Amino acid sequence: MSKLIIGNIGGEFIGIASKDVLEVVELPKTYPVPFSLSHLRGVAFWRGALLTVVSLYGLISPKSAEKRPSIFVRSSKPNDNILVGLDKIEDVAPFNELKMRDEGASGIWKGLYPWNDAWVTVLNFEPLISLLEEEVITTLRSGSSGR
Amino acid sequence: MNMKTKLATAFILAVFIPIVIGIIVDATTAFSVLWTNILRVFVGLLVAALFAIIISAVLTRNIRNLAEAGSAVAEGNLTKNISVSSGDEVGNLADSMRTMIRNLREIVGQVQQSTSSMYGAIQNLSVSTSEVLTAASEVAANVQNTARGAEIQAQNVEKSLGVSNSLSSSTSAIAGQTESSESEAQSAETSAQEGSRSAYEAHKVMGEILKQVEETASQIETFRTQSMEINTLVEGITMVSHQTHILALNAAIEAARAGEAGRGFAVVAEEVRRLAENTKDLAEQISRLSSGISQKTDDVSRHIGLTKASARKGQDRVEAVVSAFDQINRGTAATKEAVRVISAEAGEQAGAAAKLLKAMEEIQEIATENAAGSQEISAATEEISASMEEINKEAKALLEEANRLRTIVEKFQI
Repeated sequence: MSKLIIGNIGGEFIGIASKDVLEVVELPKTYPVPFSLSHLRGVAFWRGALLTVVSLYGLISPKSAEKRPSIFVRSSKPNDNILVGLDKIEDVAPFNELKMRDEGASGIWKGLYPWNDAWVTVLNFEPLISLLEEEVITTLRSGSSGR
Repeated sequence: MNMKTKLATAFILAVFIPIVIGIIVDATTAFSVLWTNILRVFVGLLVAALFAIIISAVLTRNIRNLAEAGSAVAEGNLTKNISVSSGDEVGNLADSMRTMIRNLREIVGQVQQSTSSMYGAIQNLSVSTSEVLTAASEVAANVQNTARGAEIQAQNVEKSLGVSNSLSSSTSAIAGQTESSESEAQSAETSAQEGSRSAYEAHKVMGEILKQVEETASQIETFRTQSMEINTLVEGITMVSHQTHILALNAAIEAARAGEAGRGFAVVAEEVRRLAENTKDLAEQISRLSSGISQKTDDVSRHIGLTKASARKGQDRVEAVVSAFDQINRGTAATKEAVRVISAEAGEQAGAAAKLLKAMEEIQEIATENAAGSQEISAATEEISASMEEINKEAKALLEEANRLRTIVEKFQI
């Protein structure tokens, strides 16, 4: 039985499949990373691992890029080590991929899923994580190459 | 030898002796003798006439002297001396005339002196009557002025009587008012004393209010502290519910990962999540309520502080009111005393005004009488003035008469 974790960020509903999520955590103490992008909040130690803390504000809702997410979703991939920030977890709803409308969806977007009377934008978590990791690496490289 | 004897002797000598001689001659001669007798008679007559002339000359010399003296006296010359000195009637006449002249001289002297004195007196009288007339005119004018003044005075007195009447009425009214003011002052004093007592009671009540407000403030502070503790507890509950929510989320994720085996666990996780959400909602409501309570408590605390300040201010004001009432009490007591004195004075003043009114009425009567009397005096003075004019006229006439008399009397030489 698959679940869809429905979160809210900047007033937008974001859906993440439960199989992509290891756990939901509160914001740990975060250490900023130099030369990083606006949605890269920094790194944090959590249960013996160094995690990259990412905010989706810059991607989903540029108007509220300066806002701080209060809850984070940790990727379930063993090597991802990324925490994705959300404003709030709205629901953990049953997820039937057959109900999802995914015509032409690609990249970080998997499709739209109906939830209550709204549509939830379901994130394609793996490409998102890959994109963020690339950005992090690029940022770190660009920062170190300048020295 | 008196005058008769002398005249008899002279007659005998002048008439009888020749007649006797003639008769003797007649007896001796006839016709011739007639002529001789006639001659003799003639001679005898001539001798007799000569004797008569001589005797009459002797006799009339003294009379002439007396006549001259009488003429001098008749001309007013009383200085003439009568040098006749004989023992006959002429001498007696001369003596009488001397006596008469002496007496006349004395009388004329006295008359002259009296005339002169009378003239001076009449002159003085004339001057005096002129002066008296002038004075009488002035007096008449003054009396007229006085009469007019008396009339004006009477009118003024009448007006003053009216004013005195009004004054009497006013003073009576003032006396009445001051009596009622005394009553009002008494009421004011009673009210002020009641107000003072009330102010003292208010001061006491304000003290109790302040004490209660301070106690309430203390309780509010305790309540605020407890409210803050509730907030802390609510925060703890919120945190726990949040953690529970996250735990439920993670449980749901684990249940989903467990697949069919985790279905029951998923249901439990869902219920726990919902409970956590409900707890969170309730905690948020409690937190909002607690925040509202805290806010209200702060407001109440602030208002209590303001109330406390107001109560203190009120207590200060009430103290000021008490002090003011004390002053008012003293003032009303003084006012009452002053009003009592004024009332007494006003009563006396009313009595005095009544007396004044009576006196003014008497003065009015007197002034009216004075005015009438002044009018009468004025008329009498005018009559006196007219009489004085007559007297002055008479005095001038008398002066002229005296002058004439003096002129006449001065004709006598003494």
